[in-house]
Amino acid sequence: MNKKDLRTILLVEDSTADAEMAMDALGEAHLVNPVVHVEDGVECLDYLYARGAWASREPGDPAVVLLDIKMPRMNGLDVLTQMRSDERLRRIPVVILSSSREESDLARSWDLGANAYVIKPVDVDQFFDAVRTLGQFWAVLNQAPEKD
Amino acid sequence: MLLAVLVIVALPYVVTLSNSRDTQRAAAWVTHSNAVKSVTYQIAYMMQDSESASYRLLSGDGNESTRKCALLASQQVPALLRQLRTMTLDNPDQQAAISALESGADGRITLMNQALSRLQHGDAAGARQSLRDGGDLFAIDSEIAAIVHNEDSLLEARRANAAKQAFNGRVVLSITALAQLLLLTIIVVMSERQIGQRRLAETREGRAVLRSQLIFQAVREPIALFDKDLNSLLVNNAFRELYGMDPGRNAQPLAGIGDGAWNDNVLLQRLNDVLLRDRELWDHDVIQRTVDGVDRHVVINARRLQQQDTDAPALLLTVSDVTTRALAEQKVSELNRQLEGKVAQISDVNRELEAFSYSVSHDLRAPLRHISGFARKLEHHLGAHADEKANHYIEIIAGSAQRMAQLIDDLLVFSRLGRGPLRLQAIDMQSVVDEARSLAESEAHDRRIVWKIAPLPMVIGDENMLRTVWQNLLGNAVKYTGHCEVARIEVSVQQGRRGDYEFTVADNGAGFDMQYADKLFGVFQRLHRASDFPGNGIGLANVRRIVARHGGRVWAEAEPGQGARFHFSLPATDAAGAPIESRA
Repeated sequence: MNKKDLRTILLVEDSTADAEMAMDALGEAHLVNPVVHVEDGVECLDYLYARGAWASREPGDPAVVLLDIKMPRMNGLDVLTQMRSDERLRRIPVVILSSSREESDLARSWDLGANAYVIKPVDVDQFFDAVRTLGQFWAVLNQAPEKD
Repeated sequence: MLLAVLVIVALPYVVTLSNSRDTQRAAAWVTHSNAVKSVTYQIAYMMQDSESASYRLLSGDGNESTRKCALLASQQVPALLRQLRTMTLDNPDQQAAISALESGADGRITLMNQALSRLQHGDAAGARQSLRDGGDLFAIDSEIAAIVHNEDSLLEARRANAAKQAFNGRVVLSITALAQLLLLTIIVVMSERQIGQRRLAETREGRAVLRSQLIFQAVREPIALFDKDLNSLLVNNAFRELYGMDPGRNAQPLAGIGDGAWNDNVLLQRLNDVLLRDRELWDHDVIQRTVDGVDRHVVINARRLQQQDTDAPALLLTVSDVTTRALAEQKVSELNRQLEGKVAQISDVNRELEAFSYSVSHDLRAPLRHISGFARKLEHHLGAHADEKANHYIEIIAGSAQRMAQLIDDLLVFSRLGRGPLRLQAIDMQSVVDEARSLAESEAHDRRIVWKIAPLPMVIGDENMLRTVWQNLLGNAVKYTGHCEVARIEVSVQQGRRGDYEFTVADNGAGFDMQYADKLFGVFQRLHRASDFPGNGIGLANVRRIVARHGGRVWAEAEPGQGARFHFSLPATDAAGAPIESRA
């Protein structure tokens, strides 16, 4: 195992129920990558910049950020905007994981530079499949450029 | 022209003048010729008389008078001959003839004197001989005749010349007379024409004046002309009626017209400015109480006019009664305000709907997901401990969550169909229908379906929305013919007189009871059990909403077990895609 395999999966989700289900699904994917769960946009940026409560975390970017849109304080699209405008964060893959099928949400996410948009299915099996696949793809298959 | 006139008028005068001079000259020539002839004859007679007297003396007549008579010729003829020569100095022929006559006369006078002298000496025979010799040797008759003849032929030649000149004069006179006649005719014709034209112009002018008078009086807009002291000069009927002016009275002061409607210092000052400083008064708004006691909103325009007949300026005043327009404008702005309020309300509602559906999208589905997710976790958790009932309950919980999620999705779609703008474009209905048919068929692999699709036109509409319509109608047709051995589905179109289209989808499926037809297009309304035909009753509601947004309508007819016919209409659209009916 090289260093890349150990990159974290950052789950940004205000709903503890959703987070628990997502963690379960990722667990079912048998990933070795650690999964970090933060509960809103502000905390997400704290983690990415390794500041505040996350000031003393292990250095290194996550393999993927699974980002909910509707969250208290700072929502997912604001986080995405910030990430894409910062040289240090712009290459981190972001997958929007949302309940919304609204065309406007999809369009804005893509416009802001999301790498994928996944609608959380109500059907539990579909939901598990989706999260499992996401984890496997982004944490294992996807090749990210080494940081210079 | 002037030259021609001069020539034509002067020439006859000149010709007449020279003619009369010629005539005078001719008369003078005749007189002269006669004088010459008379002197010549006088010489001849005198010679003859003297010779006869000489012969009488010879025959013994001793009368003193006879003697005198015999001497007369020798005394007077030489003088007459000189006179004759002087008279014919300009004519060499006559001079020659006169010389001949002179020598003849000289000879005869000499012999006659010799005869008289011989007679005195008593030699009567010698005297007789001398006389005889004179008669024989010197004949003067032929010379006399020659002179007379010369003079006659000269006179004749001069007469002929004078006659020719007179003829020429007459010809010239005739020509000039003709020319004068022609000139006169031309002048008469031309002046006639000019007079005619002037008369025509005068008639036209008269008519034009009459016409403008008629127009002035017929114009519905009140118009009036005032003099520099603001007394009326000319007012039209509309003005007179509006301000109740007495038609018989002229020169009414403006301030007194219409019971003081014009007695407005500001306005009068402005009108004076127009008159004195040539400032135009442009759309001056005032409220005037007119003779009918109504407060009218009028717009006054005034400008200065220069009168043609005097130097004094006049004031042209037009009054536009815009009371009704002002009222209408007031009403329009009132309505606009109301409309703006409504629009604001609607956009408020729309915003709320937007927020609502956003919230529904994001928030309402999450608990459902949790219900179904944790039901499954429960199932896992129970594992082998779960009995049949527990599993059944968990299944119902998960299924209900699933169904509610579907309802939420359908409602969101339905709500979106009502909110978003129509993206109008030209659509080939044929290809949209073919697409929808493929989709519907893909959900009924092992079924026998006979399709009959008529050629369909191009229409203007929102393609995604109309696709939804066809997907629903054809999907329903496939679904509700599920129990038929052979399904027959027919799509047709009829064009209405105003260019509108009516599309029909007919099937031979389950149909429905027309008693419930009004429920057919309601949200989540169903006429069949879900166990017979699955579905949640949103499709036709969407169809109705879409068709309504395109300005059409949708309806259906059916009989249970006999199939159903669904119709929807699309109005004719103009190039911009606006439904023509909605504007009518």
